[in-house]
Amino acid sequence: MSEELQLNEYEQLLAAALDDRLTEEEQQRLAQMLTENPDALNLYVEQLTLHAMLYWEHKPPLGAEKPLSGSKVPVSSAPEYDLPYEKPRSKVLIETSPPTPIPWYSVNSPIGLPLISYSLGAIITLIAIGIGAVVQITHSYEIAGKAATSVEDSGSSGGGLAGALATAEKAKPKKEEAPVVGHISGMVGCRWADPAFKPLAPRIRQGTKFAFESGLMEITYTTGAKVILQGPCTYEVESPSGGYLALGKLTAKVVSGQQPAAKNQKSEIINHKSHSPLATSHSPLFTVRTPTALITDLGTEFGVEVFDTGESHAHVFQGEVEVRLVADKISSAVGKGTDGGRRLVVLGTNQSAVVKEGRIQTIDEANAVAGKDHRVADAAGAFVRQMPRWTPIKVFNTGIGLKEGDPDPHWQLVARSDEPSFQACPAVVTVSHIYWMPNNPQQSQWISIGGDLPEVPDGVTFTFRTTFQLEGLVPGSAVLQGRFLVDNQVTAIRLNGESLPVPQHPYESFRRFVDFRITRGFKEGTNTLEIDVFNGRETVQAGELTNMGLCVELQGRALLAGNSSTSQQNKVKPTPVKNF
Amino acid sequence: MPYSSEREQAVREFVKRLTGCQARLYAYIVTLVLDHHQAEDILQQTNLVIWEKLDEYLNCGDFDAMVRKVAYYQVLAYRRDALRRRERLLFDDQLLERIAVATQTATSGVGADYLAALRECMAKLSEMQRDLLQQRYGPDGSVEAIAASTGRPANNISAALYRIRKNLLACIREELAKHADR
Repeated sequence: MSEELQLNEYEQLLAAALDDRLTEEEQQRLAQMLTENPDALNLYVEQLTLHAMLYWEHKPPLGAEKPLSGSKVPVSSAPEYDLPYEKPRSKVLIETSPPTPIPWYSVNSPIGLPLISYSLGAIITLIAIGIGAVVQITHSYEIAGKAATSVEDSGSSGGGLAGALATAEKAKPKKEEAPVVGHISGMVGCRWADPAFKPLAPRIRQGTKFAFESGLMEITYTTGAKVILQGPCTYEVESPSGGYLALGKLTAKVVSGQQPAAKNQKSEIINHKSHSPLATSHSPLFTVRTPTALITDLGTEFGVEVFDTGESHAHVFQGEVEVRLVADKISSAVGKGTDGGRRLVVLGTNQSAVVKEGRIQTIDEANAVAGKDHRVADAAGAFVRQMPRWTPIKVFNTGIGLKEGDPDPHWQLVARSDEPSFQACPAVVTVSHIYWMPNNPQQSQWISIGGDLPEVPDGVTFTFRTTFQLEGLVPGSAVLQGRFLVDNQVTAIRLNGESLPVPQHPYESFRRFVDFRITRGFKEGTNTLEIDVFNGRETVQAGELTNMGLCVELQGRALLAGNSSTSQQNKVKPTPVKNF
Repeated sequence: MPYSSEREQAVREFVKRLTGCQARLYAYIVTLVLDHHQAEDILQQTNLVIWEKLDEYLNCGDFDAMVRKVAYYQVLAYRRDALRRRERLLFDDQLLERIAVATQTATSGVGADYLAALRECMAKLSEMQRDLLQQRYGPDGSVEAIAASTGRPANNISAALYRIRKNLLACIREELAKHADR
């Protein structure tokens, strides 16, 4: 990419003038040449006109974000994981239409005044429409609420727009916002039942309902109680201390001290007849309601599962819970006389109960009836007791922390197409070409076959390789996000030998990163990422030597293996079940 | 809310013409003062003066000559202020006048066709050349900044930019000639 940069004296002066680099002496020389030589003057005017138009063309439009040329800019996140990924480098936009030097909205602008006149007209019209609409709304409210003040009154009483608005406000039924009772403290792979649904804020108000087909969501109540919902799941946050599990699994954890009144309230809870979570006076104890049961925490950690039949299972990991039949189920059960009237049990550590067909059975009783293959045998299992945590994958950007000329210990050059017997060797951090993105040792640098911007034959493909470990991580959950700069083109990306799609990019992605993302093909242990770089353009000129280089930035993450907790994690000797 | 009177119609036409000549006027001012920031200020001042004396200029015969004249006086005012601030001026008044005359002819062709040709020619540049122009002419762009970010001598960058502009000029001439032939 060498260039003949020699200019004659006049061109040098002109170049310096255009780039604000004229010395006083050069300035005098230029003035002399312009005075003496009409051709020089014409060329000057022509160049200056172009110079002005280049500024004109590159001006950002009004209100546009300032382009960030030559700076490292954060890149976009993987949407489904909400990781603090860097955002992609903003593309520099060249506005095709010239911006107006005077803001159009300025009174000083020649076009501003007429536009303002038009705008005022439009605003007046909108206000008129607004008044009409408000009057109409007012009228509707009044009809609905049989309000005393008529629309005509509000209009004729001299209140005008303000009066109409006041009337509308007065007539509008007040809608109180439900109190905030907690927040979403974690989500992993949630697929909502309604694809259009997406929680707008982590805050959760009383009455919020979540329905998702898969994934995990953790809710932390303002009391400190935590609930992990496992999809498929439908759960409504009914109160500051509980919710209604219509379907699916949850694990609730109420640590000691979060319910100071718990112990004192225990007898009261045990004696109460029914639970009404939407009532204004809630039990201070954390309670999960299901279609058939009320499971009340007495200072513990427990799991609840509800099947589509309404059958509910409860399992205690630690402490005690009370399992009670809901009121209508009690009468049904008593009516059938199948249970002898047992309406609740208190489960201790590592005990489970099944609520179905209007009766409560401990797991032993249920197994005795249905045999060991009954699903209650799994009641304690498959509850997620801890949200899985994302862990970064240790990957390395090219040249990070190195000096130009250093071999990169994390990136190798393993093949070149013109040398079948090529021996793999470390890639080398090379000085960057004038047209390339400058090296940034703190972030990433260009690597090549040598450190001093080596020239290599056109038409040759070079393979760069890096490896990384997924030890202790779940390969299926891994995501690798990367971006590259290349001279001239990336023709293949392979993970563990499997070819992956290469994003389209031009032959000169020297300064604009090209993003790529890998979500498949990971394996346990050592993973190998290879990138093929083709040197040259579409039409290769045999024997031509040009620069070749690659700059890659990588970020990755995966879930820690072994996070799906079951009761097996907490094997404690069962305590006897208390019947009431 | 349409304009109805004859005067309002004339104002609309005037505004249209003034808006249409902004690029040309800007080029004219840049050739006289070189500094593009100063040129922008002068352009705004020129527009303001024209707007304030709208009635005076509304029915003038040669619109382009009128706006150029206003701009030229604003350039002179800027030079007077610069001298008061003891700033160095690039050219003396005599040379400035000569440049102004030459510029009058050169910039008279600057309009939609010129900008279209420029865009056409910029599209023909390689991506790296366009990037270099973007770095130079984008906000806060300068040869020094490019030199600092690339670690290359500023002279080389200035020369590379000159070559790009030279090629662009040749290309624009061709494009405009093609357009004229149609």
